[in-house]
Amino acid sequence: MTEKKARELFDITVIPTPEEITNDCGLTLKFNETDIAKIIEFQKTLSIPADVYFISNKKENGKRKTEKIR
Amino acid sequence: MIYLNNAATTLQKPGAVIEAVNNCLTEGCANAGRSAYKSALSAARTVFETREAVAAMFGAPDPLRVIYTSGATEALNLAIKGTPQKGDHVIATSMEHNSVLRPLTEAEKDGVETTIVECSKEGLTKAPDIEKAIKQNTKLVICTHASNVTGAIMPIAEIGELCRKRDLLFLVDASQSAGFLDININEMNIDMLAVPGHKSLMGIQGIGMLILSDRANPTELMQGGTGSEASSIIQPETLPDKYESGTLNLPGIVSINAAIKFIDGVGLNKIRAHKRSLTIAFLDSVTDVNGINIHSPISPELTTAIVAMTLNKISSSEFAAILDEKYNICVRAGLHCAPLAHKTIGTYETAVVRFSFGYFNTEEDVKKAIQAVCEISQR
Repeated sequence: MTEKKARELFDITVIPTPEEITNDCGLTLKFNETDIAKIIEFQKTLSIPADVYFISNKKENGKRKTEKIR
Repeated sequence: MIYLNNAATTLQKPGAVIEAVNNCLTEGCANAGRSAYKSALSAARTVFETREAVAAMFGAPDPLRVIYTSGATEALNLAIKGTPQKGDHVIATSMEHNSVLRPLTEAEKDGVETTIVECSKEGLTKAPDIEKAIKQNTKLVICTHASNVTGAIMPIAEIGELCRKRDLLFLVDASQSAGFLDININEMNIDMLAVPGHKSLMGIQGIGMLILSDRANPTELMQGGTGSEASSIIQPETLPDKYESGTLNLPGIVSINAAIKFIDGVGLNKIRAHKRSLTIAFLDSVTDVNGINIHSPISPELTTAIVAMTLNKISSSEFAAILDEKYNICVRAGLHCAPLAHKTIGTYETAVVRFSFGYFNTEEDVKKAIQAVCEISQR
């Protein structure tokens, strides 16, 4: 349901949840765009618990930069 | 062969259902919700799309409250074992199937109190009779939507209204009604609806659903892997994961998806009208025949496509055996896993032969069945 809603508004990819967020074998929506405000507005409309993270593409010192935005 | 045991399972499935299951098995039956590669995501999307289709069919506001089970029996067990606790009181009717009565008997061992409300000789119940059985500690009311023995249709909307007024949870066994009668859990005040996939919905065996209102939150029957919150050894509370441990039955879910599309395409009204016309034609020809006793409601509005019958001269098991051996007609004789229902309608000793018509039966099937019944009854 969340994927369907997100696809209407964003360019997204469904990916395995990055281990920087959790080692759980869940699924995560990767937003292939950087309009953070729009993503947060979308998050506010969801009826399920969801967090927004920024994760860098490349590792620095063996780790990807990870920041919880909301 | 003429198959008239559709109340047990529908033997003939729509071509679209067979094709969808075949495609699922041949093109890739991935594990939904366990990975993000293309076929797993496709499986997960089908699983969710089917939840939406089921929710739409039964008026459920939230697809995430459509819980997949192995069938109606597991759905009923989940609802019955997961809802009342020690000291709570549960009301059920005398027309219930053993998939309600046996879990209830088990629950009694755990201190759950039960009342079985007696139905009429035709197997019908009334909301005021349910109301009379309500006690201070009543938590749950259980009623089949339609009897699997006689086809008698229960006043579910009225009982639902009563339950909501008295703040009781209402569990409906839709084993004989899903795919035949209109069901809207919101409008009928149903809190838990148990649905089999393989009967009138015309999906395959091994799949069913428990549909929950936002008031129902039964304890899960099983714990295990859900593909979510894997770092925790505690069962997640998130729905539907809480109730769906282990690998989902994707071929079954795919069959439900295709079956609902088929039913929507034909129209539930048209399906019901066809099955009713076959039932009426059968009843009209056999009801007044000497030596034949009908144990189903005669009025078509009060029954599904089931006719329960006994013969004066021939036992029910022999009747069914002759139908099979001489006429190649499949019916079900016996108590139909509903002993209290047979006590209610007075056929516990004799049992009955149940004829149940399906969407793929024809007028020709009915004519042959009428001829066979009339010949056997005159032996």
